[in-house]
Amino acid sequence: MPIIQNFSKRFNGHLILEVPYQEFLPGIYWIKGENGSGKTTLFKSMAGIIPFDGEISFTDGIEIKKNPQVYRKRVNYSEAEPAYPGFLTAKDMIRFIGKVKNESIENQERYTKAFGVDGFFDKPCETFSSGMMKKLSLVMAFFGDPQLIILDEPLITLDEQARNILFNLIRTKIKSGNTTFLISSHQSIGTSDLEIIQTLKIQNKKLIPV
Amino acid sequence: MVIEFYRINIGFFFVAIGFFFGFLSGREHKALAEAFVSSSLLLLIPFAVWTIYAIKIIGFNGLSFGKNENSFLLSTSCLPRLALLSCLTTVATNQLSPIIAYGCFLIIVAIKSDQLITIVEIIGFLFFLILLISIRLHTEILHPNKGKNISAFKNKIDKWITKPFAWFYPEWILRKQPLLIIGTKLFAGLLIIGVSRLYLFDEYDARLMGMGATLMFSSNAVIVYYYQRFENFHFSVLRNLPFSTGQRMIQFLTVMGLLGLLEWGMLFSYFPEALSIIDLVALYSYGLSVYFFGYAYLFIRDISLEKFINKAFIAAFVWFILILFKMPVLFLTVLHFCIGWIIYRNNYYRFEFTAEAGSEK
Repeated sequence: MPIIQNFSKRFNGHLILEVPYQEFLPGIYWIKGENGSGKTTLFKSMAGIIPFDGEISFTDGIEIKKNPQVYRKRVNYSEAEPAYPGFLTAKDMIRFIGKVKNESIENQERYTKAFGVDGFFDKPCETFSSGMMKKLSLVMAFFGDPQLIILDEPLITLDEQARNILFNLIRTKIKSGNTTFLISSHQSIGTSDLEIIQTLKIQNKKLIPV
Repeated sequence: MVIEFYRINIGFFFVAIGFFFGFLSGREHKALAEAFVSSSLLLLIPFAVWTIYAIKIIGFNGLSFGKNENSFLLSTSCLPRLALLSCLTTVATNQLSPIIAYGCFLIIVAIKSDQLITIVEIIGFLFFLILLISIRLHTEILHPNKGKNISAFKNKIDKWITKPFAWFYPEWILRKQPLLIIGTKLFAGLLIIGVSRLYLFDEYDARLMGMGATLMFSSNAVIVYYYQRFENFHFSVLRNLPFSTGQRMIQFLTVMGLLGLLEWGMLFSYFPEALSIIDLVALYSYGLSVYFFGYAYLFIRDISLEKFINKAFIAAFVWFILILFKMPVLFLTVLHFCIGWIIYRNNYYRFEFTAEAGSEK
């Protein structure tokens, strides 16, 4: 399970976020915070996209800075506003990420069909609506064998059917017992939708339990 | 729109300035201009170049209006018609200013040569280009979001083929900056042919070809710069993927090798017989090391394209001198790869874009 220790993130010398210690057990964590509070900054740091001070690791000792490749095998990230080169098709993206994450073609097809991405599989991303782009991003978030799946605003632009499919997939992954989900959302996630282990809030540059 | 246009195309202007002012003297420029203004037929040559430049501007403006962050520009549609047209012609004139400057130079030469009809033709064509760009801008503002039409050919290709990763960046840069690619390859090709021909007339050792290759490889600095931008900004998901630093390095070298096929092929075809196959292989590896060194350097800190090109020119000058003074190309290759690897391994995951650098993306 992922652990954050002595985490801090600064932009141009200004402190954005500070997390002295946070452990995430397998299950679902809802991360809340106002616009600009630092949710995406935290997520991008944990996904290995932006640098930070401090340490993020798994309990078996795999650290993001010392073991970047192994760490990234265990972490999948779906962005709030995914953007991919417009000329690439959903097929190009899914096959590329699927190959990198060692996901079988069969499972790639399964997730693709589940979210309805097969309807625009061969179309270039530049023709996608924001909802279609979100679905593509969510498909790839389930590839491989991740121990941490970060979903930044997964519910925006998503239709109700896709939302239910997403919740079903999350519940299925949780049953495997080894996956942590970090989900940020301004929309409420009811207990009937997902069983949230803990709700955390980013407030005054700190991550605090609600 | 104007500042952004020049900022994004600064590499192109550097190459153009280097080409036109590096290779031609003032007298040659004047002789060329006199040739152009002497006949309406020859005048078509600068007109053709100006048209390509105008097409580049139109393409840039179209792309700019398509970006979400520029959607505020559409509010200019609320301006009174005359004010809007005045604004748009000002934008078009400013974007065309290098062409207009050269057009003025041609007009001065034409006045001295009493070519009055030529003057009318030049002024008329410049007005035509300003009008063309202004009308396109006007259409973009008043009829936005026409929707993306995908050609039947692309639809077929997308159905049949899954693009390999090595093709992502080449297609991206070809779509974003086609003239940059064409210009760079043209420059590289002409350079190789020119340097190779010198071996026919006198005895030179591998240093001359080494110096020529240095210029050729260094001219790809902008392509290297945009690769780093593509990999870390436009396709930032790559930073989340479980590639080792070594794999990322190999991906970069593979893509640069792919993009360099044309000039490498020309190097092979025109390679002087006086030099050995070992010299050729040494130059290929030297080229890759120059690309990798520049690429690794970009991860030290965020840097604007202008600063990177300046540093690339300085580096090229240093390599030029080192080769001239008999520094073996293979030694430089090993040095580039070693230093580049240390920089790359230590800085790749520490790298972050800083908005203040005003760096081109």
